[in-house]
Amino acid sequence: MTVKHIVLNVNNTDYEVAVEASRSLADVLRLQLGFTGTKIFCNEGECGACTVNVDGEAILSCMVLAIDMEGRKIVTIEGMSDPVTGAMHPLQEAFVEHSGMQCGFCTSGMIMTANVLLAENPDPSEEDVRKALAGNLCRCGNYHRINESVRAAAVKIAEKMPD
Amino acid sequence: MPVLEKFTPTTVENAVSLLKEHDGRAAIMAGGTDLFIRMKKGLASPAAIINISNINNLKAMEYDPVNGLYMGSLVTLRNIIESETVKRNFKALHEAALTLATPSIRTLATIGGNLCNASPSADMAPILIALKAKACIADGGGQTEIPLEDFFVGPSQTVLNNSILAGIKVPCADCNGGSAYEKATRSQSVDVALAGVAVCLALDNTGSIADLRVVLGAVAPTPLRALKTEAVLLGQKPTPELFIQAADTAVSEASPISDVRCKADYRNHLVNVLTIRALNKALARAQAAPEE
Repeated sequence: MTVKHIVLNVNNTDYEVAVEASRSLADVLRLQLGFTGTKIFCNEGECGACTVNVDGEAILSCMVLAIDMEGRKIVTIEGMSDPVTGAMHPLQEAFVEHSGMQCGFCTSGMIMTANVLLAENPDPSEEDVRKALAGNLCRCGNYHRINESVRAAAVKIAEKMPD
Repeated sequence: MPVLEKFTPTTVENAVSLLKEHDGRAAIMAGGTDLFIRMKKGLASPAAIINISNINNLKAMEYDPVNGLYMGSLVTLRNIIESETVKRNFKALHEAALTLATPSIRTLATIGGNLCNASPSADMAPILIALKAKACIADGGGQTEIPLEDFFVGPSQTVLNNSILAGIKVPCADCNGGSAYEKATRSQSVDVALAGVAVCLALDNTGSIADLRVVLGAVAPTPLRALKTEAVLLGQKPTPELFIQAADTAVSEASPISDVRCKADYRNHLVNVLTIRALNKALARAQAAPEE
């Protein structure tokens, strides 16, 4: 099996890592770089738990090869909080305040998908959020609070914007 | 998911020669959303992957009112959904794309991949066949065009043989009438089609059906043009009774299987219901279409 030495940019930092050609980004993030906030659940692109942001898009990290992610900007859930102060991103705050988590396993995927939604649509309706999160499954059935959390985060982000 | 070799050609000619070199042991990869799943499940174990995502001329999407729509095989489902041109001129194509998988998959998944994977339930096939699409196949020596309905040979089998699907041509906007794709699923948002019916029809100035295609998905080994159903409808005035007769004929042409998702007799029932819905929707759109 071929091993390639690549550089992955994750949460604004470059990491040199030796990866097998067949490794998914999810595997490399979790097992080689220690970013275990990204979860692998179905490993088939159906559940969304592995969602990260790559160049501003919501990408299923179990469905892409790590070697294809060189030169891209990858953001994981660990990168959502402020790197200096550690302060939570408004999405993370909103999930805490609105009980957006039960077991928490779907949460990082939900937040990373919502992060892209809010960048594209800063004032989403309940329907907009439901459609955007259609690929993120929650086995605890917490969908309504997840939806509420995302919309509450949108309000928080809007309040922080300068006029 | 062991992979021995990975190639990233930048031209169609390179990709085809790599295919020929590996003679059936290499897999083409674009978005990877079908290939990776098959590899992870052990259903595919190619000796090499030929990643065609860097072949930029396969990403073109062009439209003009004379030649119609051209989509390179690397056009993603998301590109299709975000195209105002497609939404305006090929409404059911836009709608069919929205039914496919999830937003994140649609970012990666390509139109070429959906067709080349050739699942009997592929969502983009019925509507494209209904729109009289042609498949442009590149074999290293040039390109040939075949009607899309001839592209599929069996479940997961296409006519491709050491060749690549370069693009899809869709000649006319909704055949200057109206189109619809009705898909039945178990869940409200995201699922493989239990059954799908695509219709494209145009009326003449007496209000009769002058041009028409009816295509069934997920109820036969390949996407199926319902020729007998079309014969029932062509040249006739559209009435509820005619549509009922057409729907019954469509059921007789379908040959669904029972599987984990659905029993065959329910699929037949769905074909009946969806054919009527698709005909009604396409008809309403054809009647609303502006006069040329």
